[in-house]
Amino acid sequence: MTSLLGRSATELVDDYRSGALSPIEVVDAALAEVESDPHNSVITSCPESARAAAVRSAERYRRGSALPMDGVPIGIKDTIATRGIETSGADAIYAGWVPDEDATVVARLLAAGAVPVAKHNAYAFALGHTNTHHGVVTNPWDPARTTGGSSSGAGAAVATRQVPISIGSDTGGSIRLPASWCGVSGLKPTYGRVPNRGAMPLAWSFDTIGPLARTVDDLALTMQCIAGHDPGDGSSSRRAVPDYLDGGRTDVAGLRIGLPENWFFDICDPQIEAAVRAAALELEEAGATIVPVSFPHADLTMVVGWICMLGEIASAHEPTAHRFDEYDEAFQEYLLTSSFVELKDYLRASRLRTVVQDDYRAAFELVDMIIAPGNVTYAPRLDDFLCQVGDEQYGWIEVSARSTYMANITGLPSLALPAGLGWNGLPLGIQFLGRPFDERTMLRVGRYYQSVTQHHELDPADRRPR
Amino acid sequence: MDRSALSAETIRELAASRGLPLTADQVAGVQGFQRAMAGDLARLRSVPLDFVGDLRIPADATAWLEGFPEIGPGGHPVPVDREGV
Repeated sequence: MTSLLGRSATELVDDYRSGALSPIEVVDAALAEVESDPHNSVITSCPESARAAAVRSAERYRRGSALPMDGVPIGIKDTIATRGIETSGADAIYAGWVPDEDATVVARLLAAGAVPVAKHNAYAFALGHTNTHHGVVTNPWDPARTTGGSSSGAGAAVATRQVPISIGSDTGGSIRLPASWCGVSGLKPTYGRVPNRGAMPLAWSFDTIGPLARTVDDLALTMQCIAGHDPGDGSSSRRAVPDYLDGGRTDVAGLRIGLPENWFFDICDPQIEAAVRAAALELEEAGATIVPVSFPHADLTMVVGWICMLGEIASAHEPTAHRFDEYDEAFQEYLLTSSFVELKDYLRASRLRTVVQDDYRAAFELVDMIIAPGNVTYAPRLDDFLCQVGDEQYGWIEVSARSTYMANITGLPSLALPAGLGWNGLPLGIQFLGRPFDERTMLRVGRYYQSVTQHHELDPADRRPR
Repeated sequence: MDRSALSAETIRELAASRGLPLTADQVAGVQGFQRAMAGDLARLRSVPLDFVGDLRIPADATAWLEGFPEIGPGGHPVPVDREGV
């Protein structure tokens, strides 16, 4: 029998309903894991509020009035406001701040019965490659390596079965990169699908909140509870929320899946490329059609991403920039760099963003979805952050967001899935890019992929890198 | 001023004028980032932009997403008329 926290959220809810398990014992088990976390995933634990919530959940199950995520222990990235619980942005400058209001996404999760047990560590203000103030999160597959980020604690905590779900945010790959490097699944929804209100901004035209979980079913369950318009968030979409659970649908026949001809595999570890092509073959054998797609202006991806992001960082942090010395050292470097971005470059990057968007619009005239690498390399070592791609080494800034930035530049949804382990015993990941607001089809494809593979069941406790 | 290739002294002076006294490591960090991005930045600046034709509202991600063609029958997208896009 799977251990208590080896179960997915979907399985836990089933076990609660049948009476096989109680939210109280599961939340207690999660809190014990949080307290003994060896990877520095957690900034703040919430034992009192979690235990009280678990008791209320158990009561609702007893009365037959359970909510969709009732009693499911979850984590929340520390950049997302939680009422009565410290929210530091994973940075020193906000240390001790206790919000008096929940972020919209947190309020919705609480209304669905989910039980936050921890605020998860991250790169300070969701950017960078480390965290000086709270310490770095170590990769469960090899503690000498990064988890990736910025939702680092979320990736490690889900991989190590502390919680089945954690809520992260993605501005340049911050859900998908740690998902791929920790061997879990992550969904960056369409920009505006999940409200940002109450989350600390990094780059407001890129920022997207979404879940990390081991299974696609759990991503769908979470999306069902957090998606939808928020009148208090001007960027949130008014579109109706579809049924993401979709009856557990897994059919992929008739779908047209785009396989990139340029950019994505130009700099990409051969094993990761092989995993993507193997996944495409799986889908083709199930009745999908593989269609080549190309992106003529892909070489603008990184610079448009970085310049737009840095320009918005400089603006978002202007009110506190004079307290520069109080920021986490790791974030200081980016804050400093952002102050040297020229206005005309920011505006040029913003205008050229539409050129990158048009590439994807053209591709989606041919396909329903695009399959791509989750990232271009394995998790780098913490002592050098060099990205090894085949026989070549690249700097972190040059390649870390190479396979992810386009979903933020365009706002398109993207699903990262674990795709096994490489020769070095480290996780590798694949990614799907979907049409705007079509998370449902993407989740269906992900569900199919996880029904024919077992990569999402791999546990770092059972495997150690060679 | 081209801020993508500033000397250490200029970076220090500019930062100091904003009340940010920088350490040598911080100055090196800014220069390192600028060096890493130099090629990409040159590419960004080389793209010709028409004064009228390409002057669209920048970064309106929401409008672009909401205006995307709907998915047609059979789950396939409706073809897009790219004239004027």
